Amino acid sequence: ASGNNSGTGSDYPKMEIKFSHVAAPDTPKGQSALKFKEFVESKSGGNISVKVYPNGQLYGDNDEIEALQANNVQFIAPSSAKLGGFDKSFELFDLPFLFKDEKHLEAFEDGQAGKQLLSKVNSNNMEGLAFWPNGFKHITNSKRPIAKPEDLKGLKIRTHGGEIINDVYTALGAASTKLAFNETYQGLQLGTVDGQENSLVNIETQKYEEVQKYLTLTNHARSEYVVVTNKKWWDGLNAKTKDLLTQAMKEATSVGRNLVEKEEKEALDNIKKHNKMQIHQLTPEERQTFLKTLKPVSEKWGKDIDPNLLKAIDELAK
Amino acid sequence: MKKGQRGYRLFEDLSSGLFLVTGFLLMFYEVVMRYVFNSPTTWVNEISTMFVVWGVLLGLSLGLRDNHHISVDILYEFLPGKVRRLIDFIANLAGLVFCLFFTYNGIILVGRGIKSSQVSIETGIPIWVYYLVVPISGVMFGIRFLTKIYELRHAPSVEAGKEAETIEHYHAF
Amino acid sequence: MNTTMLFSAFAILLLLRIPIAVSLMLSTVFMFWLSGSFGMWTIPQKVFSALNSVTLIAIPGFVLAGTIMARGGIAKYLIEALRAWVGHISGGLSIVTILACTFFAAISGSSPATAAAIGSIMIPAMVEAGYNKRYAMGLVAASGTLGILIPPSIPLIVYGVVTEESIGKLFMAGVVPGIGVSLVLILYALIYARIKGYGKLDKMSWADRSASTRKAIWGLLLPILILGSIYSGATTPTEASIVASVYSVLVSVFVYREVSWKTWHQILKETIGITGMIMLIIAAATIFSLYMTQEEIPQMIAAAMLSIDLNTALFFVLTAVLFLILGMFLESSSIMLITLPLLLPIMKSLGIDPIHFAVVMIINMEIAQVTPPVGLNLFVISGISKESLGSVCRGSFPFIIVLCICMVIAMIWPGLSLWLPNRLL
Ligand code: NA
Ligand code: NA
Repeated sequence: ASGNNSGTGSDYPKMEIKFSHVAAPDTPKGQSALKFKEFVESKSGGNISVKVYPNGQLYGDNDEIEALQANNVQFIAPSSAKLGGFDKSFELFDLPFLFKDEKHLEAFEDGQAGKQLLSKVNSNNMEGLAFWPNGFKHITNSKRPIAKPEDLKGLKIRTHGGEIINDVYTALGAASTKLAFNETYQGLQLGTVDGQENSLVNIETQKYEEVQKYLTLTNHARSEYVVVTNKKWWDGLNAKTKDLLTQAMKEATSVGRNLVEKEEKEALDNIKKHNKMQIHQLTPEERQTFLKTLKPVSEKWGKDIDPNLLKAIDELAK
Repeated sequence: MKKGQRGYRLFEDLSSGLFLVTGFLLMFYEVVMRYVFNSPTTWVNEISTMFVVWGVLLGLSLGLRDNHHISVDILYEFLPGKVRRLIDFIANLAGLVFCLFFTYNGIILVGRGIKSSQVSIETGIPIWVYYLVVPISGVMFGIRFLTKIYELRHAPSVEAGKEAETIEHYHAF
Repeated sequence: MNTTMLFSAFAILLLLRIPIAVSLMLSTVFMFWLSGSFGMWTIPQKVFSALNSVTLIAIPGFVLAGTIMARGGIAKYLIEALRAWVGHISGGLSIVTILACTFFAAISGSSPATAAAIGSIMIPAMVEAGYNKRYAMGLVAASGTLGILIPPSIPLIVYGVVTEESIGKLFMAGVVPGIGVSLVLILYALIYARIKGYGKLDKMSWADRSASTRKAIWGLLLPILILGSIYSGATTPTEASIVASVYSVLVSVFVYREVSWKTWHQILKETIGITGMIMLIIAAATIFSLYMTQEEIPQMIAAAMLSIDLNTALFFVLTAVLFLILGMFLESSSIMLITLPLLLPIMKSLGIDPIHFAVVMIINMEIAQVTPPVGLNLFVISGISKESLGSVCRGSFPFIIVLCICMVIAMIWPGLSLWLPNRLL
């Protein structure tokens, strides 16, 4: 961006960057990472090389943050909730029905409030750079169609865990339980759990439709990744390199957003086409009922989350 | 001295055993809560797994003591007694070096956890509490490598690498 | 260069008779230290997080269950009953072992767990009946690998997640080849027993058979309990191992009443020792594989092998060789996570059904569990039978050949893998 000799890029320092993430290469996150690589490598004239390690083959959910803090890798993209251990505000995406739609979400992420949230990892030798999307979460189960909170009563729902999610299901009269990701399919098939919550893309690619009868499009929470880099390393970069990486990150983010939008549509079309699950779209009135039931949960955890962020999100909804 | 050693052995057995058994019992409790009472908990998964991990790591020294840790003896089998003793010494020294590495970096790990005040998003428990087992198990594992070196020096008649005390050979009946 | 150094360092440490887990870790730490810019404090963290897995806890769970069964009386009466029924057939106990492994594989998702549970019962039984111990150990090591081919199977789930294939289909695909491998092992065992003259005990009367079966009924119910608790959805496979342990304790204490406090102490010590050994190797293999992945060693090997003009047959052969090599050093999930993303596009361009390839790959992973130096089943058997790794390896060698033959059959006969899933799903 700032370079006046934009043709060569030869004045970028020679370096190698490692980017580790846990998703498959052809997922939106995987594609975003590859876009980042391609952009940086071509614009730097090959001086900066980016090695992307997908599928958690280098580091997984349980050890990528430490690897980043130690500068063993320079970029990771954990789900936002994982950072909730450092600051509860990162779990705001789990708050029920906080975001109206993609537009509302993107306005938050691209605005001042989004930056404020990203900066909350700074004290731990990390620097938040961007939010990468994964999609709104929906509920599937094998027992009955879900249109109102009472329909969830007594169901055992597999989630990826976290105190807020647990409280959400408790308030709905269901029980949330944390199963390992690779045991979820079997858990659903055998009835160890009755249902689960996930993005449409995950529901389709994990073939949960083979073992679930009902899908309710709730959009009740958001699954979101945060791209994080090592702060010390980042601060040591020259302005030009930082500019390039920032720009590459913007490109990568927009690739991911377009892809999520496209894949969500495709996933829903496929699910409809396969016709294995009965689909219910929550009406605005039904959404209101859920909102009312879950209000105490939002209020309880709202206290642990930066009130400025919640206020900003509220403003953006109007 | 002998009494002290027996006491320490019992400590090894109990520390590891209690964590392992408690972890298993918690998992059993979760099964009962989920299947019989239809109300799974939100904390047992993490806590029970942690208990088992602690049990496993604390049990490393017991495993070394009772010769469970496997090594390759392709070369060893062809060597004369004196060289064997040297190799045993080097092997146990290498084990000790590993334990020092593991313990030292484990202390750094715990220290960083305390500084970052990171907590588990499931239970709110500070993450460094979970990591405490790393340096502890490193020290215990190291003590056993030290004991082996000591035995090598002071029990020349014992065939190197074999446990000085009798191993209960494994039989189902 | 780095590759050579890593493997040389590992080999030297192994030859110095340093425990395998420690050798894996030290050689990797050495390489990271040479690279100069690696945060070493993340290594104990990675060890901790490698062990911090609910799925992995099935291993200590089934080791505990197996040890209680072996020492608490359940095994004793179970084996007496088995011998009463098939002891007079030549090689009868080998067949019982293979069938027990096949059956147990259907309730456990991992091979070491299968080998531990059956091995602790059947190896002593075969030795007592006059079988060569090495043969007995090799038999259990090999039959135990059925744990990952016959569903449920943790590696098949990993395969499904990476390739986005239906896990239900993958499970189904493992059933027929699983039974097939089991039958081939039985055939081999029968021939071997004929040659060696193994296992012809006196034929028992029907009264004796029925008496011993009644005495063993509590043990015979155990597989039903485990199967039932998994397939009714009451428990996950990991939790089933705990349920099995609790059940075994209750039967030992209240029915057979032969276990003293001292024996309970022994059971606990053995469980801790074996579990610690296996889990430390798994953690160490994670560190080793971290370095290999970071240096892109498996990718380079794969790329070199796949750079030539490929056809379907060549692809199967080359990947089999690749997996055999990687399988010596890495654990199956790591191999899958590293290689599958590279292989999947090639597979698709050659028109190979990923479900068919999955079965071949899983048999390859079975072989990886019994090839030294890193073979979890070898370690389990060495641990429970207190024999050297070399001895277990020698016993397993003929079975590696048998498994390789099974793999080739699965390669050239896709219908074996595809018939059941295509029929039912
Ligand atoms: Na299985
Ligand atoms: Na192997």
